[in-house]
Amino acid sequence: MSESTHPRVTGSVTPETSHPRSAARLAPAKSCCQTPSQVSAGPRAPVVAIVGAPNTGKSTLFNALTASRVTTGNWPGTTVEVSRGVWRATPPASPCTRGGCADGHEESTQDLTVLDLPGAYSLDAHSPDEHLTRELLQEGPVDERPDLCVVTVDASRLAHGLYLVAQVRELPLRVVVAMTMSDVALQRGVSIDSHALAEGLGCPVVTTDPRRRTGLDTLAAVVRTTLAAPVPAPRPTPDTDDALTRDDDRFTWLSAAAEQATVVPGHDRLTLSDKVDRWVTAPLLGPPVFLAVMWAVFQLTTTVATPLQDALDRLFSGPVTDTVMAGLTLVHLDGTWVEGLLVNGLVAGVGMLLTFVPLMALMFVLLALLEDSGYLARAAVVTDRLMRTIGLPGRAFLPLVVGFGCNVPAISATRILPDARQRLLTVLLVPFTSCSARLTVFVMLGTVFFGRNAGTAVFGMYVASVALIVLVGLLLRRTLWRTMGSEPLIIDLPAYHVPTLRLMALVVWQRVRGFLRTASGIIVITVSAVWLLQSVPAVAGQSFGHVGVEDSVYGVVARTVSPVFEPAGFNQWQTASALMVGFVAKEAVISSWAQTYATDQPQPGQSGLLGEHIQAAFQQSSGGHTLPAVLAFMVFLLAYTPCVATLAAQRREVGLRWTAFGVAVQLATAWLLAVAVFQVGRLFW
Amino acid sequence: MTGPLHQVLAEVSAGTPTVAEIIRRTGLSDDVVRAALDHLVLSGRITSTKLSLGCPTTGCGTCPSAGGCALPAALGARRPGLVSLALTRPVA
Amino acid sequence: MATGMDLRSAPLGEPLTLLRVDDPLLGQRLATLGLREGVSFRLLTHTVGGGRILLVDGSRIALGSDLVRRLRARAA
Repeated sequence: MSESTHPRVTGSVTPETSHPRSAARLAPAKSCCQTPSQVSAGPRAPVVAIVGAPNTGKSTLFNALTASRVTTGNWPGTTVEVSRGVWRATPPASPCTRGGCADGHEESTQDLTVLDLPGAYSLDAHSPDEHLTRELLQEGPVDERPDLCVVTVDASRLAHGLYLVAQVRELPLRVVVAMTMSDVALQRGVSIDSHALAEGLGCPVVTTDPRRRTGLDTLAAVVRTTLAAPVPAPRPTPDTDDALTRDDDRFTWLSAAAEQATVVPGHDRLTLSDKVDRWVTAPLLGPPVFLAVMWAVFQLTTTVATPLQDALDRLFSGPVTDTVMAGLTLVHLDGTWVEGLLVNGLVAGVGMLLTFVPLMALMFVLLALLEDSGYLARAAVVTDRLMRTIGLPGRAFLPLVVGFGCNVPAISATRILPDARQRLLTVLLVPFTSCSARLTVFVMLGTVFFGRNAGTAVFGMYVASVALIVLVGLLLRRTLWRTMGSEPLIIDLPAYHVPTLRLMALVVWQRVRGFLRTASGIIVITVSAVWLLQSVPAVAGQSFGHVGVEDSVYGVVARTVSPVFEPAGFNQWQTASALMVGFVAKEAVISSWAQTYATDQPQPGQSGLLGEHIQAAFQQSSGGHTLPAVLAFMVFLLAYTPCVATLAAQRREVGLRWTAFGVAVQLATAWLLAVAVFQVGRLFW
Repeated sequence: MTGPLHQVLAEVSAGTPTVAEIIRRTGLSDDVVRAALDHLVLSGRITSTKLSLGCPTTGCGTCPSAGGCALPAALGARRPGLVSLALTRPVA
Repeated sequence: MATGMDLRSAPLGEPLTLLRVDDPLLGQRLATLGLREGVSFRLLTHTVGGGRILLVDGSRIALGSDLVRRLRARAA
């Protein structure tokens, strides 16, 4: 088990001469001041054995110490290779005062015989190498043992190397630890305090880099000082025959020494992150900073993604539809139900799915950015107190804020929550955040019914949205999750850092792909199903695909459903139909009205003819209490299932059963609230 | 008094799935836990079997060796890989 | 045996030593983040809602106000 990196000068060594003591005895006695002609420092020269685990730089150190004064051969009676050399130990720029030459000359250099013992992780004799090391250090006659043992220890894997030190320290031996690979340790963010380590180990520790030949002089000085001193008392060991207890005692000892000596750079220094945190999490400044960041997230997800969404929408309703139509004309299927299925079912469904892609991608980028930069952990600290009231940790704020832009990415954003139950609760609450699609309907209804107070009405919906989240959250927590304790806030704050682009891109791509894979089916199927229901005639004399909505199966269903909304004041079949389409997507509510009232869709900001139709409808259905009915309708719109894409995302995150449960909660909440609003409202208006 | 070796051995016998988890649960340093695992393998108290390599389809985040791997460096390899650690004999 | 002070009254920036955590489960959770009995740490800053950020063994840990009330320390 010798190291291959080691350029050895191999001489012919007989078993006789390869033994250090015999070699020393055979070598002519000479002053240490002379250069030895053979690889021995003389009979009186101290013997230093270098031991250490493989790959700790042991042989590199040996080579650095001995230069070319080396012989290598098998240890007598074994196949284990041992190198022996002379180390001209020169301490750094100071005359030899201790451990000088035997003849008493003032001498700055002391020659030592050095043995490079085979790599050994321990003295437990698991291999011939370890066996020899153990024999030499532990079991051989005392006068044959080396005078000093240098143990090489890899600073980047300190505990691994210290086990051998623990064992060697149990022997009546002088021990010096040569710590190598400090640069590697430093690259991993760890530095070892050699003084603290020496204190813990009870023997000197010298940091060296044999490759760069640094620390060798210090090692020489320390070795000479130690040689001049008496053999230190061995480390006490527990009185036991149990190997595990004995080994564990060594580990207890070494881990204490390692812990005491390991210094994480910047451990006690305040970093830039700390300075930023002083502002970002501060009692007064923290919340505004958080709100600013969230506003930016909200703005970016809606404003940047909207043009892209519109462009994709135009692409699908324009060129793609035209191409499909042209294709159908070629095969003479234009004007048939196939055209309806392809254009109004598949193309519309796929188009809707794809318009979510830019939004989702942007959302995931922002999420990854917040998470990777380290801000998310701070935001969780800031919002923790607030979120705690509904039993959620601080970081649940993010998906809820995102939900005000679009519920679909918000559902996916719940993944930042580590606890499954908290994730589930947040997934169930996200649909109550008023997304921007609902905003378009609110704005349209607001301008039609509230005139100058339209802004207040819309704002009221947002307030209602926040109230709904808190109320439903409390309700669910009091009923379903009564056992869910609020865990105390303990967050390990990572240092801020610049996010890795490649990693972010990978994460974003994986998440978008996952969304497409799971959401595509449900969206396309639902859009096609609505088309199918609207195409199947429910009255005689109409043909498939050529039927008005009123006479289709869809119209009949809407008519059947509409009485349900009577206590809420909007039991018109057109309104019920709009709500049913709204189940697929809120954007479709207005177009559904336009379709059923057979008018053009109004331009934003003007209510036009459609407004008059709707006004008349609400007035009729509410028995004159128009405003309470409209408010009830808006509240229903706010609280019931946002869109089929949200359902797809929910199914992906929490499964079909919980998604169905969520739909039930949403419909129940929406209906109850709408009825309450209308019934209470009509007492006043 | 239980030292690091007993603690790590107890975690392995309790089926703690990853080295990172052992580190978290014992509160010991990464270095000491890995050294203890290596020692337990070398002294024959636990066996270490290298599992087939390959990334989980769900990405690196779900890989049990994401937090570092348990393959004892003393056994020759420093490259991360998935290993299964099992008790050789019951803990006395 | 809880002597010392709770973290609400502990000064920022001064070295502190953590005293025993009575709740074993909580103690275990804190230990995994390096907050064990006898460990020395410093409080870095106040956070929203009465929490603190503390520096222990090179890592920064945010604690909520409930924990700040429950944990006790003495000046190191």
